[in-house]
Amino acid sequence: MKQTLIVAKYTFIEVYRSKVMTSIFFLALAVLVMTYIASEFAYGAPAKVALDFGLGITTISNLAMAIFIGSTLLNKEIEQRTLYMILSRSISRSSFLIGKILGLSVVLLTNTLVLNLVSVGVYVLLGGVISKLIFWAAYFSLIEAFIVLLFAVFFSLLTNTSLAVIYSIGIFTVGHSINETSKIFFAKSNPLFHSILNVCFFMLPNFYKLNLKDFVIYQQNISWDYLLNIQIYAILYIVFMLLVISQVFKAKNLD
Amino acid sequence: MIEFVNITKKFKFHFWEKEFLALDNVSFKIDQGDLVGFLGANGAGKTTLIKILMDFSRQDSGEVVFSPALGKNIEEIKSSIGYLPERAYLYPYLTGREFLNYVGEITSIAQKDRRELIEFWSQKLQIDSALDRRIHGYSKGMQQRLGFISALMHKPSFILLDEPLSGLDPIGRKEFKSILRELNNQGTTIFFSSHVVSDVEEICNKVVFIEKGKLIYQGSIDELILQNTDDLYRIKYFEQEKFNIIHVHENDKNRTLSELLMKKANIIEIEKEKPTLEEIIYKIKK
Repeated sequence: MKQTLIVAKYTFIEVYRSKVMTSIFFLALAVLVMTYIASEFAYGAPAKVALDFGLGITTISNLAMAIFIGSTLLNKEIEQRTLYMILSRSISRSSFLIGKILGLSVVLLTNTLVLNLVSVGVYVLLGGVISKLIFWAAYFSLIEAFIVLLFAVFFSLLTNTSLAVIYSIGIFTVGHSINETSKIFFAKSNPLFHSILNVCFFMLPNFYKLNLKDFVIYQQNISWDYLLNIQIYAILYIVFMLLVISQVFKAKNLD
Repeated sequence: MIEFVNITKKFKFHFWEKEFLALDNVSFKIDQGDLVGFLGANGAGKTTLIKILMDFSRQDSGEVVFSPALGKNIEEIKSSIGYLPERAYLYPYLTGREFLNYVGEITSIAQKDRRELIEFWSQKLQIDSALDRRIHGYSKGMQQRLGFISALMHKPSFILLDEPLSGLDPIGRKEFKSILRELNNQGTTIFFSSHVVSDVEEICNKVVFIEKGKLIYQGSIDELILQNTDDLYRIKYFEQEKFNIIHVHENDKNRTLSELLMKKANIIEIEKEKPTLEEIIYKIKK
Protein backbone atom coordinates (compact mmCIF):
# COMPACT_ATOMS: atom_id res chain seq x y z
CA MET A 1 0.00 0.00 0.00
CA LYS A 2 2.85 2.37 0.94
CA GLN A 3 4.53 1.78 -2.40
CA THR A 4 1.25 2.38 -4.26
CA LEU A 5 0.95 5.76 -2.56
CA ILE A 6 4.58 6.63 -3.41
CA VAL A 7 3.91 5.89 -7.11
CA ALA A 8 0.65 7.89 -6.92
CA LYS A 9 2.46 10.86 -5.35
CA TYR A 10 5.15 11.08 -8.01
CA THR A 11 2.68 10.38 -10.84
CA PHE A 12 0.63 13.33 -9.65
CA ILE A 13 3.71 15.59 -9.41
CA GLU A 14 4.80 14.54 -12.91
CA VAL A 15 1.36 15.20 -14.45
CA TYR A 16 0.82 18.34 -12.35
CA ARG A 17 3.96 19.90 -13.86
CA SER A 18 3.14 18.83 -17.40
CA LYS A 19 0.78 20.76 -19.64
CA VAL A 20 -2.29 19.09 -18.11
CA MET A 21 -2.53 21.56 -15.25
CA THR A 22 -2.12 24.49 -17.61
CA SER A 23 -5.03 23.11 -19.64
CA ILE A 24 -7.14 22.87 -16.46
CA PHE A 25 -6.46 26.53 -15.81
CA PHE A 26 -7.47 27.55 -19.34
CA LEU A 27 -10.51 25.26 -19.20
CA ALA A 28 -11.60 26.93 -15.97
CA LEU A 29 -11.23 30.29 -17.68
CA ALA A 30 -13.25 29.00 -20.66
CA VAL A 31 -15.96 27.67 -18.30
CA LEU A 32 -16.18 31.08 -16.66
CA VAL A 33 -16.55 32.92 -19.95
CA MET A 34 -18.80 30.39 -21.70
CA THR A 35 -21.22 29.88 -18.81
CA TYR A 36 -21.60 33.62 -18.57
CA ILE A 37 -22.21 33.96 -22.32
CA ALA A 38 -24.67 31.03 -22.31
CA SER A 39 -26.58 32.52 -19.41
CA GLU A 40 -26.86 35.82 -21.30
CA PHE A 41 -28.61 33.99 -24.14
CA ALA A 42 -30.95 32.11 -21.82
CA TYR A 43 -34.36 33.60 -21.29
CA GLY A 44 -35.72 33.38 -17.79
CA ALA A 45 -33.33 30.85 -16.29
CA PRO A 46 -29.75 32.08 -16.78
CA ALA A 47 -28.46 30.44 -13.58
CA LYS A 48 -29.73 27.01 -14.63
CA VAL A 49 -28.18 27.32 -18.09
CA ALA A 50 -24.88 28.41 -16.57
CA LEU A 51 -24.89 25.40 -14.24
CA ASP A 52 -25.87 23.00 -17.02
CA PHE A 53 -23.06 24.36 -19.18
CA GLY A 54 -20.51 24.20 -16.37
CA LEU A 55 -21.36 20.62 -15.36
CA GLY A 56 -21.31 19.57 -19.02
CA ILE A 57 -17.88 21.07 -19.71
CA THR A 58 -16.49 19.48 -16.52
CA THR A 59 -17.74 16.05 -17.61
CA ILE A 60 -16.33 16.40 -21.13
CA SER A 61 -12.93 17.66 -19.95
CA ASN A 62 -12.72 14.89 -17.34
CA LEU A 63 -13.52 12.31 -19.99
CA ALA A 64 -10.99 13.74 -22.43
CA MET A 65 -8.32 13.63 -19.72
CA ALA A 66 -9.26 10.12 -18.65
CA ILE A 67 -9.20 8.80 -22.23
CA PHE A 68 -6.06 10.53 -23.48
CA ILE A 69 -3.91 10.23 -20.35
CA GLY A 70 -5.22 6.73 -19.57
CA SER A 71 -4.42 5.47 -23.07
CA THR A 72 -0.85 6.76 -22.99
CA LEU A 73 -0.16 6.13 -19.30
CA LEU A 74 1.64 2.80 -19.64
CA ASN A 75 2.54 2.72 -23.35
CA LYS A 76 4.58 5.89 -22.91
CA GLU A 77 6.33 4.43 -19.89
CA ILE A 78 7.21 1.24 -21.79
CA GLU A 79 8.38 3.13 -24.89
CA GLN A 80 10.49 5.55 -22.84
CA ARG A 81 11.71 2.80 -20.49
CA THR A 82 10.83 4.90 -17.42
CA LEU A 83 8.79 2.02 -16.04
CA TYR A 84 11.85 -0.26 -15.99
CA MET A 85 13.50 2.11 -13.52
CA ILE A 86 10.63 1.61 -11.06
CA LEU A 87 9.63 -2.00 -11.75
CA SER A 88 13.23 -3.10 -11.24
CA ARG A 89 12.70 -2.22 -7.57
CA SER A 90 10.97 -4.34 -4.95
CA ILE A 91 7.51 -3.30 -6.07
CA SER A 92 4.84 -5.55 -7.57
CA ARG A 93 3.38 -4.72 -10.96
CA SER A 94 -0.10 -4.38 -9.38
CA SER A 95 1.12 -1.82 -6.81
CA PHE A 96 2.81 0.17 -9.57
CA LEU A 97 -0.25 0.09 -11.82
CA ILE A 98 -2.71 1.01 -9.08
CA GLY A 99 -0.35 3.78 -7.96
CA LYS A 100 -0.27 5.23 -11.49
CA ILE A 101 -4.08 5.08 -11.73
CA LEU A 102 -4.45 6.64 -8.29
CA GLY A 103 -2.08 9.48 -9.24
CA LEU A 104 -4.15 10.21 -12.34
CA SER A 105 -7.37 10.05 -10.34
CA VAL A 106 -6.06 12.87 -8.16
CA VAL A 107 -5.55 14.87 -11.39
CA LEU A 108 -9.17 14.13 -12.36
CA LEU A 109 -10.30 15.13 -8.86
CA THR A 110 -8.41 18.43 -9.12
CA ASN A 111 -10.00 19.09 -12.52
CA THR A 112 -13.48 18.31 -11.15
CA LEU A 113 -12.98 20.53 -8.11
CA VAL A 114 -11.59 23.52 -10.01
CA LEU A 115 -14.15 23.47 -12.85
CA ASN A 116 -17.12 22.79 -10.60
CA LEU A 117 -16.07 25.53 -8.24
CA VAL A 118 -16.02 27.98 -11.17
CA SER A 119 -19.36 26.86 -12.62
CA VAL A 120 -21.10 26.79 -9.21
CA GLY A 121 -19.60 30.22 -8.53
CA VAL A 122 -21.15 31.63 -11.73
CA TYR A 123 -24.44 29.85 -10.89
CA VAL A 124 -24.57 31.45 -7.43
CA LEU A 125 -23.64 34.88 -8.84
CA LEU A 126 -26.56 34.60 -11.26
CA GLY A 127 -28.94 33.90 -8.40
CA GLY A 128 -28.91 30.11 -8.27
CA VAL A 129 -29.41 28.23 -5.02
CA ILE A 130 -26.92 25.56 -4.03
CA SER A 131 -28.40 22.12 -3.51
CA LYS A 132 -26.83 18.82 -2.43
CA LEU A 133 -27.61 17.37 -5.83
CA ILE A 134 -24.96 19.58 -7.47
CA PHE A 135 -22.27 17.88 -5.39
CA TRP A 136 -23.72 14.43 -6.10
CA ALA A 137 -23.71 15.20 -9.83
CA ALA A 138 -20.05 16.34 -9.67
CA TYR A 139 -19.11 13.28 -7.62
CA PHE A 140 -20.79 10.87 -10.04
CA SER A 141 -19.21 12.66 -12.99
CA LEU A 142 -15.82 11.99 -11.35
CA ILE A 143 -16.71 8.30 -10.87
CA GLU A 144 -17.77 8.10 -14.51
CA ALA A 145 -14.44 9.59 -15.63
CA PHE A 146 -12.59 7.15 -13.34
CA ILE A 147 -14.32 4.13 -14.92
CA VAL A 148 -13.52 5.48 -18.40
CA LEU A 149 -9.90 5.93 -17.25
CA LEU A 150 -9.80 2.26 -16.21
CA PHE A 151 -11.13 1.22 -19.63
CA ALA A 152 -8.55 3.41 -21.38
CA VAL A 153 -5.73 1.81 -19.34
CA PHE A 154 -7.18 -1.66 -20.01
CA PHE A 155 -7.32 -1.11 -23.77
CA SER A 156 -3.85 0.45 -23.81
CA LEU A 157 -2.50 -2.80 -22.36
CA LEU A 158 -4.08 -4.82 -25.16
CA THR A 159 -3.57 -2.59 -28.17
CA ASN A 160 -1.90 0.61 -29.37
CA THR A 161 -2.71 4.12 -28.15
CA SER A 162 -4.92 5.18 -31.08
CA LEU A 163 -7.13 2.09 -30.85
CA ALA A 164 -7.28 2.41 -27.05
CA VAL A 165 -8.65 5.96 -27.50
CA ILE A 166 -11.24 4.80 -30.05
CA TYR A 167 -12.37 1.83 -27.93
CA SER A 168 -12.65 3.98 -24.80
CA ILE A 169 -14.81 6.53 -26.63
CA GLY A 170 -16.89 3.58 -27.84
CA ILE A 171 -17.37 2.28 -24.28
CA PHE A 172 -18.38 5.75 -23.09
CA THR A 173 -20.93 6.11 -25.93
CA VAL A 174 -22.39 2.62 -25.48
CA GLY A 175 -22.42 3.03 -21.68
CA HIS A 176 -24.58 6.12 -22.05
CA SER A 177 -26.92 4.85 -24.73
CA ILE A 178 -27.51 1.25 -23.66
CA ASN A 179 -30.20 2.13 -21.11
CA GLU A 180 -32.34 3.98 -23.66
CA THR A 181 -31.58 1.56 -26.51
CA SER A 182 -32.96 -1.36 -24.50
CA LYS A 183 -36.29 0.49 -24.22
CA ILE A 184 -36.90 0.94 -27.96
CA PHE A 185 -39.45 -1.27 -29.68
CA PHE A 186 -36.99 -2.92 -32.10
CA ALA A 187 -34.77 -4.03 -29.22
CA LYS A 188 -37.70 -5.46 -27.33
CA SER A 189 -39.20 -7.28 -30.30
CA ASN A 190 -35.98 -8.75 -31.79
CA PRO A 191 -34.87 -11.69 -29.56
CA LEU A 192 -31.28 -11.77 -30.88
CA PHE A 193 -30.74 -8.04 -30.50
CA HIS A 194 -32.44 -8.20 -27.11
CA SER A 195 -30.05 -10.94 -25.93
CA ILE A 196 -26.99 -9.02 -27.19
CA LEU A 197 -28.25 -5.91 -25.39
CA ASN A 198 -28.75 -7.92 -22.21
CA VAL A 199 -25.15 -9.17 -22.32
CA CYS A 200 -23.89 -5.61 -22.93
CA PHE A 201 -26.13 -4.36 -20.14
CA PHE A 202 -24.42 -6.63 -17.62
CA MET A 203 -20.89 -6.37 -18.98
CA LEU A 204 -20.55 -2.68 -19.82
CA PRO A 205 -20.78 0.22 -17.39
CA ASN A 206 -24.18 1.88 -17.22
CA PHE A 207 -23.15 5.54 -17.38
CA TYR A 208 -26.74 6.65 -17.82
CA LYS A 209 -27.36 5.87 -14.14
CA LEU A 210 -24.35 7.99 -13.13
CA ASN A 211 -25.62 11.06 -14.96
CA LEU A 212 -27.48 13.23 -12.45
CA LYS A 213 -27.32 16.49 -14.40
CA ASP A 214 -30.98 16.41 -15.42
CA PHE A 215 -32.00 15.90 -11.80
CA VAL A 216 -29.90 18.94 -10.82
CA ILE A 217 -31.22 21.20 -13.58
CA TYR A 218 -34.88 20.28 -13.04
CA GLN A 219 -34.47 20.18 -9.26
CA GLN A 220 -35.86 16.71 -8.92
CA ASN A 221 -35.26 14.68 -5.81
CA ILE A 222 -33.33 11.46 -5.77
CA SER A 223 -33.80 8.89 -3.07
CA TRP A 224 -30.87 7.91 -0.82
CA ASP A 225 -31.44 4.30 -1.87
CA TYR A 226 -30.83 5.21 -5.50
CA LEU A 227 -27.61 7.08 -4.65
CA LEU A 228 -26.40 4.24 -2.44
CA ASN A 229 -27.17 1.54 -5.00
CA ILE A 230 -25.39 3.44 -7.77
CA GLN A 231 -22.34 3.90 -5.55
CA ILE A 232 -22.25 0.18 -4.70
CA TYR A 233 -22.61 -0.62 -8.41
CA ALA A 234 -19.76 1.80 -9.30
CA ILE A 235 -17.46 0.51 -6.56
CA LEU A 236 -18.00 -3.11 -7.58
CA TYR A 237 -17.38 -2.20 -11.21
CA ILE A 238 -14.17 -0.33 -10.30
CA VAL A 239 -12.88 -3.23 -8.16
CA PHE A 240 -13.67 -5.68 -10.97
CA MET A 241 -11.86 -3.51 -13.54
CA LEU A 242 -8.83 -3.04 -11.28
CA LEU A 243 -8.57 -6.81 -10.82
CA VAL A 244 -8.81 -7.42 -14.57
CA ILE A 245 -6.26 -4.70 -15.41
CA SER A 246 -3.84 -5.96 -12.72
CA GLN A 247 -3.99 -9.49 -14.10
CA VAL A 248 -3.46 -8.31 -17.68
CA PHE A 249 -0.52 -6.10 -16.62
CA LYS A 250 1.02 -8.95 -14.59
CA ALA A 251 0.91 -11.25 -17.60
CA LYS A 252 2.10 -8.63 -20.10
CA ASN A 253 5.52 -8.90 -21.70
CA LEU A 254 7.16 -5.51 -21.29
CA ASP A 255 9.37 -5.92 -24.37
CA MET B 1 24.65 -16.30 -7.87
CA ILE B 2 22.52 -16.27 -11.04
CA GLU B 3 22.23 -19.03 -13.58
CA PHE B 4 20.52 -18.94 -16.96
CA VAL B 5 19.38 -22.44 -17.92
CA ASN B 6 18.49 -23.15 -21.55
CA ILE B 7 16.78 -19.80 -22.16
CA THR B 8 14.94 -19.63 -25.48
CA LYS B 9 12.93 -16.64 -26.61
CA LYS B 10 11.10 -16.17 -29.88
CA PHE B 11 9.35 -13.08 -31.20
CA LYS B 12 6.51 -12.96 -33.67
CA PHE B 13 5.40 -9.46 -34.52
CA HIS B 14 2.53 -10.39 -36.87
CA PHE B 15 0.72 -13.70 -37.28
CA TRP B 16 1.72 -13.93 -40.95
CA GLU B 17 5.40 -13.43 -40.18
CA LYS B 18 7.93 -16.13 -39.41
CA GLU B 19 9.06 -16.41 -35.80
CA PHE B 20 12.29 -14.68 -34.97
CA LEU B 21 14.58 -16.59 -32.62
CA ALA B 22 16.08 -13.97 -30.30
CA LEU B 23 17.69 -16.38 -27.83
CA ASP B 24 18.54 -19.97 -28.62
CA ASN B 25 19.06 -22.26 -25.62
CA VAL B 26 21.37 -19.88 -23.78
CA SER B 27 22.93 -21.20 -20.57
CA PHE B 28 25.59 -19.61 -18.39
CA LYS B 29 26.32 -18.70 -14.81
CA ILE B 30 27.35 -15.53 -12.99
CA ASP B 31 29.27 -16.27 -9.80
CA GLN B 32 29.38 -14.08 -6.74
CA GLY B 33 32.10 -11.44 -6.91
CA ASP B 34 32.46 -11.62 -10.69
CA LEU B 35 32.70 -8.61 -12.95
CA VAL B 36 31.25 -9.97 -16.16
CA GLY B 37 31.10 -8.23 -19.51
CA PHE B 38 28.21 -9.25 -21.74
CA LEU B 39 29.31 -8.87 -25.34
CA GLY B 40 27.43 -9.11 -28.57
CA ALA B 41 26.67 -7.07 -31.66
CA ASN B 42 23.56 -4.89 -31.86
CA GLY B 43 20.54 -7.21 -32.01
CA ALA B 44 22.45 -10.21 -30.66
CA GLY B 45 19.92 -10.67 -27.83
CA LYS B 46 21.70 -8.98 -24.91
CA THR B 47 18.84 -6.67 -23.88
CA THR B 48 16.28 -9.46 -24.31
CA LEU B 49 18.22 -11.67 -21.90
CA ILE B 50 18.54 -8.82 -19.39
CA LYS B 51 14.79 -8.16 -19.61
CA ILE B 52 14.14 -11.85 -18.92
CA LEU B 53 16.42 -11.68 -15.89
CA MET B 54 14.45 -8.69 -14.59
CA ASP B 55 11.09 -10.41 -15.27
CA PHE B 56 10.04 -7.70 -17.75
CA SER B 57 9.88 -10.24 -20.54
CA ARG B 58 9.11 -13.95 -20.30
CA GLN B 59 11.13 -16.68 -21.95
CA ASP B 60 9.46 -19.38 -24.06
CA SER B 61 11.50 -22.06 -22.32
CA GLY B 62 14.27 -22.37 -19.77
CA GLU B 63 14.64 -20.68 -16.42
CA VAL B 64 16.65 -18.13 -14.49
CA VAL B 65 17.86 -19.53 -11.16
CA PHE B 66 18.72 -17.04 -8.41
CA SER B 67 20.82 -18.05 -5.44
CA PRO B 68 18.85 -17.96 -2.14
CA ALA B 69 21.27 -15.26 -0.92
CA LEU B 70 19.56 -12.79 -3.28
CA GLY B 71 16.07 -13.40 -1.83
CA LYS B 72 13.17 -15.79 -1.65
CA ASN B 73 10.71 -14.17 -4.07
CA ILE B 74 11.02 -11.84 -7.06
CA GLU B 75 10.35 -8.70 -4.97
CA GLU B 76 13.10 -9.61 -2.47
CA ILE B 77 15.47 -10.53 -5.28
CA LYS B 78 14.84 -7.19 -6.99
CA SER B 79 15.77 -5.30 -3.84
CA SER B 80 19.25 -6.92 -4.11
CA ILE B 81 19.63 -5.83 -7.73
CA GLY B 82 20.68 -2.44 -9.06
CA TYR B 83 19.49 -2.13 -12.64
CA LEU B 84 20.08 0.51 -15.31
CA PRO B 85 18.32 -0.01 -18.65
CA GLU B 86 19.77 0.93 -21.99
CA ARG B 87 19.17 4.61 -22.92
CA ALA B 88 17.00 5.18 -19.85
CA TYR B 89 14.68 8.17 -20.16
CA LEU B 90 13.72 9.45 -16.77
CA TYR B 91 10.55 11.30 -15.76
CA PRO B 92 11.10 14.66 -17.51
CA TYR B 93 9.04 16.85 -15.17
CA LEU B 94 10.64 15.59 -11.95
CA THR B 95 13.88 17.10 -10.71
CA GLY B 96 16.93 14.86 -10.38
CA ARG B 97 16.57 14.89 -6.59
CA GLU B 98 12.87 14.01 -6.76
CA PHE B 99 13.61 11.11 -9.07
CA LEU B 100 16.28 9.74 -6.73
CA ASN B 101 13.92 10.18 -3.78
CA TYR B 102 11.22 8.35 -5.75
CA VAL B 103 13.38 5.25 -6.35
CA GLY B 104 14.81 5.55 -2.83
CA GLU B 105 11.34 5.62 -1.25
CA ILE B 106 10.23 2.63 -3.33
CA THR B 107 13.30 0.74 -2.11
CA SER B 108 12.41 1.76 1.49
CA ILE B 109 15.62 3.70 2.18
CA ALA B 110 15.12 5.87 5.27
CA GLN B 111 14.88 9.62 4.58
CA LYS B 112 18.16 10.46 6.38
CA ASP B 113 20.10 7.72 4.57
CA ARG B 114 18.51 8.75 1.31
CA ARG B 115 19.69 12.32 1.73
CA GLU B 116 23.23 11.19 2.51
CA LEU B 117 23.36 8.68 -0.32
CA ILE B 118 22.06 11.22 -2.83
CA GLU B 119 24.67 13.74 -1.71
CA PHE B 120 27.48 11.18 -1.80
CA TRP B 121 26.73 9.73 -5.22
CA SER B 122 25.75 12.99 -6.90
CA GLN B 123 29.05 14.54 -5.81
CA LYS B 124 30.99 11.47 -6.89
CA LEU B 125 29.33 11.52 -10.31
CA GLN B 126 29.44 15.30 -10.49
CA ILE B 127 25.77 16.10 -10.98
CA ASP B 128 25.14 17.60 -7.53
CA SER B 129 24.77 21.09 -9.00
CA ALA B 130 21.99 19.90 -11.37
CA LEU B 131 19.97 17.87 -8.85
CA ASP B 132 17.29 20.53 -8.35
CA ARG B 133 16.73 21.05 -12.07
CA ARG B 134 14.02 19.24 -14.01
CA ILE B 135 15.27 16.18 -15.87
CA HIS B 136 14.07 17.38 -19.29
CA GLY B 137 16.90 19.92 -19.14
CA TYR B 138 19.53 17.21 -18.60
CA SER B 139 21.92 16.07 -21.33
CA LYS B 140 22.09 12.38 -22.29
CA GLY B 141 25.23 11.92 -20.20
CA MET B 142 23.66 13.59 -17.16
CA GLN B 143 20.59 11.34 -17.43
CA GLN B 144 22.92 8.35 -17.62
CA ARG B 145 24.71 9.51 -14.47
CA LEU B 146 21.39 10.02 -12.66
CA GLY B 147 20.19 6.56 -13.75
CA PHE B 148 23.50 5.09 -12.57
CA ILE B 149 23.03 6.66 -9.12
CA SER B 150 19.51 5.24 -8.92
CA ALA B 151 20.94 1.78 -9.65
CA LEU B 152 23.59 2.09 -6.94
CA MET B 153 21.97 4.05 -4.12
CA HIS B 154 20.30 1.10 -2.35
CA LYS B 155 23.69 -0.71 -2.12
CA PRO B 156 22.72 -3.75 -4.19
CA SER B 157 24.76 -6.95 -4.07
CA PHE B 158 24.25 -7.48 -7.80
CA ILE B 159 24.48 -4.70 -10.38
CA LEU B 160 22.99 -5.20 -13.82
CA LEU B 161 23.69 -2.55 -16.45
CA ASP B 162 22.55 -2.49 -20.06
CA GLU B 163 25.04 -0.50 -22.19
CA PRO B 164 25.94 1.79 -19.26
CA LEU B 165 28.77 3.53 -21.10
CA SER B 166 26.81 4.61 -24.16
CA GLY B 167 26.19 8.35 -24.39
CA LEU B 168 29.04 9.21 -22.02
CA ASP B 169 32.03 11.39 -22.80
CA PRO B 170 35.54 9.88 -22.30
CA ILE B 171 35.81 11.30 -18.77
CA GLY B 172 32.39 9.90 -17.87
CA ARG B 173 33.33 6.48 -19.26
CA LYS B 174 36.50 6.50 -17.19
CA GLU B 175 34.58 7.48 -14.04
CA PHE B 176 31.92 4.79 -14.58
CA LYS B 177 34.57 2.13 -15.15
CA SER B 178 36.50 3.17 -12.07
CA ILE B 179 33.32 3.04 -9.93
CA LEU B 180 32.46 -0.41 -11.29
CA ARG B 181 35.96 -1.65 -10.46
CA GLU B 182 35.76 -0.10 -6.99
CA LEU B 183 32.37 -1.69 -6.26
CA ASN B 184 33.58 -5.05 -7.55
CA ASN B 185 36.61 -4.85 -5.25
CA GLN B 186 34.16 -4.33 -2.37
CA GLY B 187 32.44 -7.61 -3.29
CA THR B 188 29.58 -6.48 -5.54
CA THR B 189 28.83 -8.77 -8.45
CA ILE B 190 28.51 -6.83 -11.72
CA PHE B 191 27.11 -7.87 -15.06
CA PHE B 192 27.05 -5.31 -17.83
CA SER B 193 26.33 -5.49 -21.51
CA SER B 194 28.33 -3.65 -24.12
CA HIS B 195 29.20 -3.86 -27.75
CA VAL B 196 32.50 -2.09 -27.10
CA VAL B 197 34.98 -4.94 -26.55
CA SER B 198 37.79 -2.75 -25.21
CA ASP B 199 35.60 -1.55 -22.29
CA VAL B 200 34.93 -5.14 -21.27
CA GLU B 201 38.56 -6.16 -21.65
CA GLU B 202 39.67 -3.20 -19.55
CA ILE B 203 37.68 -3.93 -16.42
CA CYS B 204 36.11 -7.40 -16.49
CA ASN B 205 37.50 -10.70 -15.34
CA LYS B 206 34.92 -12.76 -17.22
CA VAL B 207 33.07 -12.42 -20.47
CA VAL B 208 29.89 -13.82 -21.95
CA PHE B 209 29.67 -13.50 -25.70
CA ILE B 210 26.52 -14.10 -27.71
CA GLU B 211 25.94 -13.86 -31.41
CA LYS B 212 22.52 -14.05 -33.12
CA GLY B 213 20.95 -15.37 -29.92
CA LYS B 214 23.50 -18.16 -29.42
CA LEU B 215 26.09 -18.38 -26.69
CA ILE B 216 29.54 -18.38 -28.24
CA TYR B 217 31.78 -18.15 -25.18
CA GLN B 218 31.54 -17.77 -21.43
CA GLY B 219 34.43 -17.75 -19.05
CA SER B 220 37.61 -15.99 -18.09
CA ILE B 221 39.00 -13.32 -20.43
CA ASP B 222 42.58 -14.40 -19.70
CA GLU B 223 41.78 -18.00 -20.64
CA LEU B 224 40.10 -16.89 -23.84
CA ILE B 225 43.13 -14.82 -24.78
CA LEU B 226 45.51 -17.65 -23.87
CA GLN B 227 43.52 -20.11 -25.98
CA ASN B 228 43.75 -17.80 -28.95
CA THR B 229 47.35 -16.74 -28.56
CA ASP B 230 49.92 -18.08 -31.05
CA ASP B 231 53.37 -18.79 -29.66
CA LEU B 232 54.91 -15.77 -31.32
CA TYR B 233 57.36 -13.30 -29.84
CA ARG B 234 58.09 -9.79 -30.93
CA ILE B 235 61.73 -8.76 -30.63
CA LYS B 236 62.72 -5.13 -30.94
CA TYR B 237 66.42 -4.40 -31.32
CA PHE B 238 68.82 -1.65 -32.34
CA GLU B 239 71.44 -2.38 -34.97
CA GLN B 240 73.37 -0.28 -37.46
CA GLU B 241 71.84 2.92 -36.10
CA LYS B 242 68.23 1.90 -36.60
CA PHE B 243 65.43 0.10 -34.75
CA ASN B 244 64.21 -3.24 -36.09
CA ILE B 245 61.28 -5.45 -35.13
CA ILE B 246 61.05 -9.17 -35.91
CA HIS B 247 58.42 -11.79 -35.07
CA VAL B 248 59.65 -15.27 -34.19
CA HIS B 249 58.09 -18.52 -33.05
CA GLU B 250 58.79 -19.69 -29.50
CA ASN B 251 61.00 -22.53 -30.78
CA ASP B 252 63.23 -20.08 -32.65
CA LYS B 253 63.27 -17.41 -29.94
CA ASN B 254 66.49 -18.38 -28.13
CA ARG B 255 68.39 -19.10 -31.32
CA THR B 256 67.38 -15.76 -32.85
CA LEU B 257 68.34 -13.92 -29.69
CA SER B 258 71.76 -15.59 -29.64
CA GLU B 259 72.34 -14.63 -33.27
CA LEU B 260 71.39 -11.03 -32.57
CA LEU B 261 73.66 -10.86 -29.51
CA MET B 262 76.51 -12.31 -31.51
CA LYS B 263 75.98 -9.57 -34.09
CA LYS B 264 76.24 -7.15 -31.13
CA ALA B 265 72.68 -5.90 -31.65
CA ASN B 266 71.14 -4.04 -28.73
CA ILE B 267 67.95 -5.91 -27.64
CA ILE B 268 65.38 -3.29 -26.63
CA GLU B 269 62.27 -5.42 -25.96
CA ILE B 270 61.05 -9.02 -26.08
CA GLU B 271 57.32 -9.49 -25.78
CA LYS B 272 54.98 -12.44 -26.26
CA GLU B 273 52.45 -11.44 -28.89
CA LYS B 274 49.00 -11.37 -27.35
CA PRO B 275 45.89 -10.55 -29.39
CA THR B 276 43.36 -8.13 -27.93
CA LEU B 277 39.94 -9.42 -26.90
CA GLU B 278 38.53 -7.44 -29.81
CA GLU B 279 40.71 -9.31 -32.29
CA ILE B 280 39.70 -12.65 -30.78
CA ILE B 281 35.99 -11.78 -30.85
CA TYR B 282 36.33 -10.72 -34.46
CA LYS B 283 38.13 -14.02 -35.25
CA ILE B 284 35.43 -16.09 -33.49
CA LYS B 285 32.64 -14.25 -35.33
CA LYS B 286 34.29 -14.95 -38.67
